[in-house]
Parts: sequence; structure tokens; C-alpha cells
Amino acid sequence: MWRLLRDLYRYNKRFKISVIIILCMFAYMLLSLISPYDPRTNYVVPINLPPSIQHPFGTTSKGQDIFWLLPFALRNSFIISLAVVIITRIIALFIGTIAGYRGGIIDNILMTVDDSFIILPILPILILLKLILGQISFQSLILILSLFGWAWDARLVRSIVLSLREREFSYTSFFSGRSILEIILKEYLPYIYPILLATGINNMIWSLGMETTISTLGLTSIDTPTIGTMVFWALQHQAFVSGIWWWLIFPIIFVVLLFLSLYYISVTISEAVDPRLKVIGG
Amino acid sequence: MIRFFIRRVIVALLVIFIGITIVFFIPRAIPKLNPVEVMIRRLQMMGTYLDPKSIELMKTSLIKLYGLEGSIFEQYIKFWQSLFSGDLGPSFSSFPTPVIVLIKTALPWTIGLLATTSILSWIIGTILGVLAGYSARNKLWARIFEILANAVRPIPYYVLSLILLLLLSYVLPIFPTGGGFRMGMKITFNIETIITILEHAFLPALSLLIVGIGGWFLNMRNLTTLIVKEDYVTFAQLAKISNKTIFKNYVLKNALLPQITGLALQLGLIFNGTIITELVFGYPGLGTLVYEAVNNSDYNVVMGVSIFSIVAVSLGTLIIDIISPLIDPRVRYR
Amino acid sequence: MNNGILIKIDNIKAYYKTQSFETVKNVKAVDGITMDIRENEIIGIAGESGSGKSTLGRVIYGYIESPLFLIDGKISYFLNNEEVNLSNESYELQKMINLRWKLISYIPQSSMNVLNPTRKIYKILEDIIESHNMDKNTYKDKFFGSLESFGLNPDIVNQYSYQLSGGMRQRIVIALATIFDPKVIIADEPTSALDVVTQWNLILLFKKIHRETKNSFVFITHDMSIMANLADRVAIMYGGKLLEIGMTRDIFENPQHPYTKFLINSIPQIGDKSEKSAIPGFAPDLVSPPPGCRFLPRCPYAKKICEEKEPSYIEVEKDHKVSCFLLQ
Repeated sequence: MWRLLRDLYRYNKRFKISVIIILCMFAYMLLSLISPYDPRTNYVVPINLPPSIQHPFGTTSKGQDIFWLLPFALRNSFIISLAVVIITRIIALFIGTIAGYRGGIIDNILMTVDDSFIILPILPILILLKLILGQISFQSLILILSLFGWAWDARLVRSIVLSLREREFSYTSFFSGRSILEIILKEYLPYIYPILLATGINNMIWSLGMETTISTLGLTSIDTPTIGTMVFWALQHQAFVSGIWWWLIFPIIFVVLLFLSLYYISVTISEAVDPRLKVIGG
Repeated sequence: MIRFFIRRVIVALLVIFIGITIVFFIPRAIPKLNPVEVMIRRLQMMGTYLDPKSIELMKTSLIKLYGLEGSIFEQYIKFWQSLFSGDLGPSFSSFPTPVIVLIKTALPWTIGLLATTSILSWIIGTILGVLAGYSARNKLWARIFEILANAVRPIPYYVLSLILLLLLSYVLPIFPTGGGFRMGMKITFNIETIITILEHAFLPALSLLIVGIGGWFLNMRNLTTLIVKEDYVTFAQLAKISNKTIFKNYVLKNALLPQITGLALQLGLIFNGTIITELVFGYPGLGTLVYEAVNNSDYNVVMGVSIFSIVAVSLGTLIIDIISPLIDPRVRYR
Repeated sequence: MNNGILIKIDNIKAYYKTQSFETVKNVKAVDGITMDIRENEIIGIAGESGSGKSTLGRVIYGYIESPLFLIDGKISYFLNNEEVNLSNESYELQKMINLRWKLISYIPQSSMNVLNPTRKIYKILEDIIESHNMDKNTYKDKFFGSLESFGLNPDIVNQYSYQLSGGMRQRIVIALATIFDPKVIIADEPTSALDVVTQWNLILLFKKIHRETKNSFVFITHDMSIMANLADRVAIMYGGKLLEIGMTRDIFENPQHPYTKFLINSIPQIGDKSEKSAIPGFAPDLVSPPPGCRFLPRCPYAKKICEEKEPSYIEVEKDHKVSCFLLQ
């Protein structure tokens, strides 16, 4: 698989650019380690200053330097979505394989539950949570997003397992005495994890989007800097009415870049993994 | 096939049942949200003096009003009873306006926005998509459209709405920044009203349309490209069946079903997206309603809207699922 | 009509071009084939998987689309009053397409999936009839007649393809392919996915059609026993090249090429207790084939000259050609 990624990097412009952008973002996120300002403190710099050499991205109405705030914001948003992706991969793998391998009643029950989660609209539940908890802590957010994020991918895993189960090598393994767990881990996993990876990136885009949206609405812990909370505060302080456009523009630009790069990476990988090789001519 | 329907109906009912039960239990499980306490607190905050006796009286009537009488079980039954009669209780912050009235006021705005944009974007996206996948495969417009659609695809509704708001309301002050109509204006059935409504609805609708068309376009185009490679399309071409027939009955027909199923699955997301977009623009639909309710701790409204959306999305999905066998015979005989 | 020759294939070369990142590969599936298809004959094209025989079938039908490209050579069709040519220079592809289904038809390899799953059989039939501007009623009746003679109940036209078994679908496709009584029918492995009983019935079917309409069949398969029972002439393909071609009887009784000998010896016969041997080695690499004779790596009689040059055709007896240095 590394060879594929390396080839993609070398020959596919979109992939290359997206990877470079993401790497730059990571580098920027690392800046948070050497930040001269604690992101949770306010009024450490003069407020509402436009971008300048001292403050490359300007300052906020709460007296924070945007250039040094963004790394934390990006980092936190990213960590949250990464956590969701990992958890949903595990759940989807687990449920998908059990449903696919066992079949019968267990499959029916699991898939009915799965369908329900696909249909259930997430927003009302989140709003309810906000009422219960006051503010949705990021741990709770991760939990809820994970709860809603596995359903689609579990179905994919299940269909793969279903088709694998009927293939001859399954019967051979089973009859030669391998335990079911072994079969799943050693024989099926190589087929499953490419899909999990591809959908994982999509899941990341989704959870990043959800986090951004939820935080922008003020439903989460607004003192922790994420992209969403930055936008929230900017809106709270009527940023564009007061003409402090830099408070809004920079987080938005960064998050849009992040989305686009992730998306193109996922698209180019799935194009390359597709067995149909690229062909000359139209 | 009957089994298929039964399963779908069960899922829809299950979702509704579980969702509503969760919604039922929350205020009764969390003391902070106990509406009676909230009400008393609010009155006290407003400076009204209440002697203990009045408080007791009030509590009793409030308890009755909020359906908190009797044991949990009795409450649960009464809850379902009132649901069936369409009573969602009174709003806390706009007491005594019934929640159902608030929803009824906000609903037309949301439905207007949701219905028009989702149907329009599905139709436009699907038509453009099938063309881009089949007959106009290498034309310039198809490729440009693909790039644009791909650029919009990963961006969440909120961000897109914000960007549109910034661009077309502040940078270029063409459109109003929010609301559904001008403040204080009377809504009558004349041209001026209609123009104002359209003016205010333009940006939210545009935002939803962009995301919608982009998504459906890509989906349909990918479907069409896959189907064109199928053996039966090749065979039809080899047998020299006319291009028009192939397009209509071999390509389009086979691509429509997954596209329609896609609509069913996306319904929840589209609904969420509409609500979020409403919030950005302050559009007076369910989104703004529920957001203000959250900020006012008005549980009944939130509960009402939640129940409503769960029921609406489940039923919508169920309806589309039931329609699908009519279009694709393969589902009929599964 | 050109003294009994319906299709003349002249040194035709067709390659598949594939690209993976920067590497471009040409799969030389059909690499210089010359043969003709004659009136009123069943000619079989035999070969193993990867020999290029399916591609040859496609090329003869003019179904040449990316990633398949026509590199060199020419095919001439003498199916109606004019000579239609197919080559890189001549832009007569449209004329060739006009011959399709009425004068020449094609039964593709996986007949299982060639019927539109969302369209009832009679609708597919109507699509074909209407697209060729033929009279609906005449041909509908003809189709029902064909179905009956194939042993199928005409009522199945009201069903969808996935409701029918593989054998039934196969027969429907054959009925569709023969509906306008074309002069040439190309069938690509029509029996491979079926059980032996259905296979046998299909062979009888083909014989019947041939007897009644006196058309020509181009029958592509890897199964030599079917060749023996069905074909008038046989062409042996290997590695994109034609190794031997002749009347069936001559080929089976007097095989010349070592490869042909292997193929024929591999057919089991009742009462034959001799050991069967497999041909050693693997199918040739069509991307970078070795110079000289394609069969060289697996040939037990290889000579030095076989490495350097490709053998040309020698006519061993009447209408029996071989390409092998053993005979030169």
C-alpha cells in the first residue's frame, strides 16, 4: 500500500497538492507547542488589530492573537475528528463482521438497529444534549458523533464479509479447523481494511464538519479553542458588522482548505484502488 | 417483498418510538430541567414576589399542565395520549402559547425552504449528472461542473452559508442579512410581500441548492458512468438499439433507483442542513425556533421540535422506501 | 459475394492499451491474423484463456473501442451488395455498424448479464425490432417461434431476466441474435458457463439453426470436444497468433502443429486408457512476447530458428495451413 501512496504522490497532481497542504497544516498545528500565549487566556494583546507583521492574522475582540490561536484550534478540531474516526472504525468493523458472518436473526437485529441509526436525525439529539449538559464537553461530543458515525460503514463491512464468507477459502479455513476469530482476523481483514481506510477519511470530513457546525452554534465547551468555537466567538462579537473580517476569514480559509485536501486525498485513493486501470483515449 | 415492507415499517416505528421515549425521559430524569422548577425560578428572577402558598398552588397547576402528575408510568401513557391528540404542551418561554402553535407558525417557512430546494436540487443534479455521465461525457461544461461540485462537496452547510452571507450580504450588499421578511411588516398576499419573502429566502435557498446540486450531480454521474460499463448496455449497443432507447431505458432507468434511495438516506442530513442554514440566516423556521428555545431553556419547544423532526424524517424515509419498488422491478421480487 | 467468402480478415492487429501512472502497456491480443469466414460454414476458433480469441471475435464484429485499438490490417465484409472495409485508414465504421444485427450478429461471452435487469424480455425484443425499423408483428412471431423450437415457453417474455435460469437466458440471447437471420453469427464461449446437458442441447440448437438458415457461425471456445462435434473448420489460436487452420477432420486426424497435437490428445475418450499429459509452461505474455515463434517456450521440438524468426504459413494439404518451422 505504501507503494501505491508513493506512486500517487509522484504522479497525481491533486494528491500531491493535497498531501502538501495537509502536511503544512500539521506543521502549523505543531506551532501550538511553542506558542507564546496560552489559548485559554484573554486580553493578552490589543484587541481588534488588523493583520500586521506583529500579528500576522490580526487579533480578536477578546485580545487573542489569531496567528497563535489557530494552531490550537486546528489541532483540537483535528484530534476530535480523529478520535471519532478511530472509534467508528472499530465499531463498524465489529458490528459489520458479526452481522455478516453470523447472519440469521443476529444479522436482522443488528441491521435493523443500524438502519435506525442511519435514519435518526442527529441534530435534535445534540440540541437535547446541550440542554441536559449545559455545554457538551468534547468527550461527550466524541461519544455522540461516534454513535452516529458507524452505521453506514458497518453496512459496507457487512456486505464485504457476506461475499467473503461464500468464497472457497472461507470453507477451507473453517474445515481445516481455524477458529472463527482467526478467520476474521487473518483472512478477512486484508480485504476489509482498505475500505475502512477510504471511508475513514470521509468520516473524518463528516465529523470535522459536525464539530465545526456544533461548536459554531455554541453548543460545546466554548472556552476550548477549536475552529468552530473561534467562529462562534467571532459571531458573538458581531465580527463582520464591526468590520473585523480577519477573525472570521482565517479560520474559515483554513478549515475549507483542510476539507478540500482531505476530500481530494480520499477521492484519489479510491480512484487508484479501483481495479480498473486508467486507460488512454476517451 | 412483504417481508421487506414489514422490516421498513418496523424500523420507522422503532426510530420514532425510541426517539420519543428518550425525549420523554430526559426532563424527568434531570432535576435541573424540571419545568416546574424552571418556571418558578424564572418568575423569581423576574422579581415577582411569591409567598409559599402561591408557590404551592402554582406548582400543582404547573405539574398538571406539564403532565408530571402521577407515577412515571401514568405520565408515559398520558404523554402518548396527548401526542396522538396533537398536544405538545405549552412553551416555557412563551407561556402559555402551546408548542404546537409555535411549530405551526415556523413550519411553513422550513417546509417551503426544504421542499423547494431539495426537490429542485435533486432534479437538476440528477439531470445534469446523467448527461455528464452519458452523452456529454467529455464536454467542457461537464468537466468544469465536476470540479466545482467536488469543491463544494466536503464543505459543511454552515460554512457555506457563512461564506455566502459574507460575500453577498456584506461584501456586496445585495441581499438582506437575515430574517424571513422585513421587521414589522404585515404579511398579506400582495406582490410586495412576495418579493420581500423571495429576497430573504434567496441566500438560504442558494446555499442549500449549491450543496444539493453538487452532491446529486456527482452521485448520478458516478452511477451513470458505472452503468454505462455494464454488460447489458454494451450488448444493447452491439445490437444497434437506438441511442435514445438506450439512454432512457437502459441507462437512466437503472441509475434512477439508487439515486432515489440516496434521497431516502440523505433525508436526515438534508433536514439537519436546512435547520442549520436557517440558523445562519435567522430564517424564521424550525431552526431558529429551536435555537432560541435552547438558549431559553424552553424544554417543551425543543422536545416538540425533536419529536416532530424524528417523526418527519422517519416517515419521509419510509415513504421513499415504499415508492422504490414501483420504480425498480428488482426490488419487487427480492 | 466474393466466391463464397463472407468476411476476409487480412493481417489484423488489435492491441489493448493500458496505463498505470506513467507506464503504458500494449497487450497484443490479436497480432497479425489472416483468415476468412465462408458461406454456410461453422468455423471454430480454439485456444486457451489469454490466447486472444475473444478479442478476435470482437474485432471481427467491429466492436473496437477503447481500451482496444485497431493497429494494423484490414477486414472486408461481403455481406450485402457492396464491399465494406474496416481498417485504420478507412472510415467505414459506420457502414459496418449498419450491417450489425441484420447481416452479422454477436453473442457475447457472459450471456448471463447481457439482458437489462429492469426491462421485461418482450420490451428488449421490441427495442431491437423498433431500432432496426422492422415490422413488429412479423418478428415478434418469429421470436416466439424460435423460443418454442429452443424448448422455451413463449410466456417467459413477460418476465425479467433475473427470474430465469442461465440456460434460459442463454437461449433467449441466441434467439435475439438470430432474429433477423444474419449471415454470420459470432458466438463467444456460449457454452462455457453451463452444465454439460445444457451444453449439449445448445450445440444441437446451433446445428439446427445452421441447417435451417444455412448461415455461418464463428464459434469461439476452448473446448476441443465441442469443436469436434460442431465445427466444419477449426482455427487454433495461441498468443495472439494463428497456429493452424483447416477442416475439422484434417485437424483431428492429422494435426501438424505441436500445440494442436497437445490439444487433441487432451480430449478424453471412452476406452482410452493412456495417460494424459498437460502442456508444460504457462500462457504467453502478450505484453512483451518473445521474438520468433510464440509457442517456443512450451514446445518440445524447438529448434534454433524458432527463437529468431516467426514461421510463415505452409499449406500442408488442401485447405490446411500451419505456421511451424517443423514443416519447413
